[in-house]
Amino acid sequence: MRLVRPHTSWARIATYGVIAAAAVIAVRNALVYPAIVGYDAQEAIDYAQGLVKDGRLPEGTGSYYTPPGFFAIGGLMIEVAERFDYDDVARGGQIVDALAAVGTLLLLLVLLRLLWPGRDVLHLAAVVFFVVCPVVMKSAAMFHPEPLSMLLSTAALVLAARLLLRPDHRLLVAAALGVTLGLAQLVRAWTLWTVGVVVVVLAVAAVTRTAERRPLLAALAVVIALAAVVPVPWYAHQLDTYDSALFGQPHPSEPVWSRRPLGFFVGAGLPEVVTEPYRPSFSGQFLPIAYAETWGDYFGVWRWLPNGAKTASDVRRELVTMSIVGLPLTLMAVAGWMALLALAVRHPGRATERQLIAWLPLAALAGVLYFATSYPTPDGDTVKGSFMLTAVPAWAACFGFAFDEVRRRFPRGSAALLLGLAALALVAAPFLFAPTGA
Amino acid sequence: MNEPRGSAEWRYLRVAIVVVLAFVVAQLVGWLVYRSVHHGPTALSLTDRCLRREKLLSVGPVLDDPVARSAHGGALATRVEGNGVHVAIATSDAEAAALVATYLEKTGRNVETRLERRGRVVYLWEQALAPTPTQRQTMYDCWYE
Repeated sequence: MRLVRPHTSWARIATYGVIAAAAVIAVRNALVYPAIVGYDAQEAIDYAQGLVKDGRLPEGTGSYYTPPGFFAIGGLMIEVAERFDYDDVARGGQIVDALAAVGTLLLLLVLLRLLWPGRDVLHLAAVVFFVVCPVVMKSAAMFHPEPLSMLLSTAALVLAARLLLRPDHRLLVAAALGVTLGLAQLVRAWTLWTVGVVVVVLAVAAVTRTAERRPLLAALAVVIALAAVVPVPWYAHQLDTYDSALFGQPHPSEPVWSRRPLGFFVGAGLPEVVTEPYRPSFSGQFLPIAYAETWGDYFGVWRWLPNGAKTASDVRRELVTMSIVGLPLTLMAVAGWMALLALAVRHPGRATERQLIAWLPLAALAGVLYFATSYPTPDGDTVKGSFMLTAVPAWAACFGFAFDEVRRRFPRGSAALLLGLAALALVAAPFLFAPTGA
Repeated sequence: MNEPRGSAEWRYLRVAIVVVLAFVVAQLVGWLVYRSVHHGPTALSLTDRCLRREKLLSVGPVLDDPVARSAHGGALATRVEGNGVHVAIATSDAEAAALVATYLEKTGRNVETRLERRGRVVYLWEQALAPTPTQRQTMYDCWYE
C-alpha cells in the first residue's frame, strides 16, 4: 500500500518557525521586563492583591472600572510567588500574559486556516505581521489584562467562523462562543466590540443564507443569551456602586463632538511621526499617537527606561527605524481591510465569515476614537495602542490577505515581496526584545 | 459557502491600494504646502519647545510686561530655579537695542542688574539680584534668534 504524505510547504514550516521564535521571545520578555514600568502597573498589582488576599474590588480608585478576570488570575500568581518567598511577585502574571499572546498567535493561525484554507503564504504573512507589531510583545511582557482579552476575543472569532463554516454541533459551538464572549467581558470592556461584531456577522449570515436561517437564528439566540448572562454579576456590581456599568469617570460637559479640535481627528503628525515618534510630539492628534505607540514606544514604557543600557540617541534611532518599518506594513494592512470591508458591504452574502475580520478593526477604531474624544487628556493617554490590541489579529489577517493577493497577482515579484517582508521582520526583531536595565 | 472569485477580491484590493496611496500622497502634499508657507519654526516656538522639553520648565504668556509684549518676534515667561524671567525676542538688532532702552527708561529700580541682552533676545529677570550662572545658562541653552 502506498502512503500519501500530506504536502508541507516551505511557508507552513516558516510559519511554525515564526510562532516558535515568538513564543521564546514572549516568555523571555515576561521573565526580564520590570513589571512596574508597564501601563498602570501599580494599579494592576494592587487590584490583583486586594482581590485575592482580601476578596475586595477597588472602590472608586485605580482600575475600579476594569473587570476582575485577569486580576483574579494575576492575584493567584502573586499568592503563589509569595508562598515561595519570590520577591518579584508580578512575574507569574506577566508569564500568563506572554502565554496569552502565544495562544492568540496559535488561534490566529487556526482562524486563517478556516477563512482562507490552503493559503500558506497568507497565513505566514499574517503571523509575521502579528509578531513584529510591537504593541503585542510590549503588552505580553506586562502585568495587564489586555493580552488575556485579546486571547478570548480571538477565540470568539475562531468559534464564530467555525459556527458559520461547519453545520455540525452548531448549538454546542454557539454555547461555547457565548460563554467565551461573556468571559471576555469579564476581562476587559474593550471586548464589547468583539461581541458586537460577532452578533452582527451572525445576523447577516442568518439573513442572507435562507437555507440555514433557522439553525443560525437559534445559534445567534444562544450566543446573545450567554454573552449577556455570564458578565451580569460584574455589570450589576458596577451599576450598583457607580453611575455606569463600563467607565464611570467624569468627563467634560460639552457635547462629544466638540471636545476635541478638528486637528485631533485629521492630523497625521508629519514629519514627527517618523522623525520624533515619542512624547510630547503630536500629543493632540489621534492617528500619529496610535501609530507611534503601536509600532514604537510613544509613552516610554519599552525603551525609555531609567538606567537603561542604551543612550537617548540610540533609542531615538531605534524608534525612527520602527516608524519606518511600520509604514509599509500598516498601509498594506489598511488596504486589505478596506477591500474586505468593501466586499462585506457590497456582497454581504458571500464568505460571511470573513466579515469577522472586516468589521473588527472598524469597531475597535470607532470605540477607541469615541473613548479618546469623550475623555480628552492633554498628553494623549487615552489613545494607547494597547486599547486596540483585540483588533491586532484582525489587522494581521487583513495584511496577510492583501500581501498574498498582490503576490499571486504578480508572481514574478513574489520573491521580492517575500524578501521585503523578511527584511522588515529582521529589522524589527531587535525591538521585540524587552530591555532589562531598569 | 459562496466563495468570492479571486478576480473580484483583487478588483476591490486594487481600488483599496489606490485609495491608501492617494491618502498618503494627500498627506505628503499637505505637509509640503504647509512647510513652504510657514518657513520652519520661529525663534519663539523653538525657545518655548526647548524650555518645555529640554529643561522641563513651565512656559506661559507674558501678561504684565508691555515692553516684552511689544517684541515683534514674540515673548514668553518662565521660571528658572525660582527666579522668573521674561524673554522678548526681537527681529533685528536695532529692535533689540530699542527694547533694552525702553526697559531702562520705563522699568523700576535695579533694572540694570535684572536686564540682559544676548543678540536679538532680551531677558528681564524677576529677582533684584543678577541671575545665577546656572539660571543664565539654562536660558542660554534655549537661545534662538
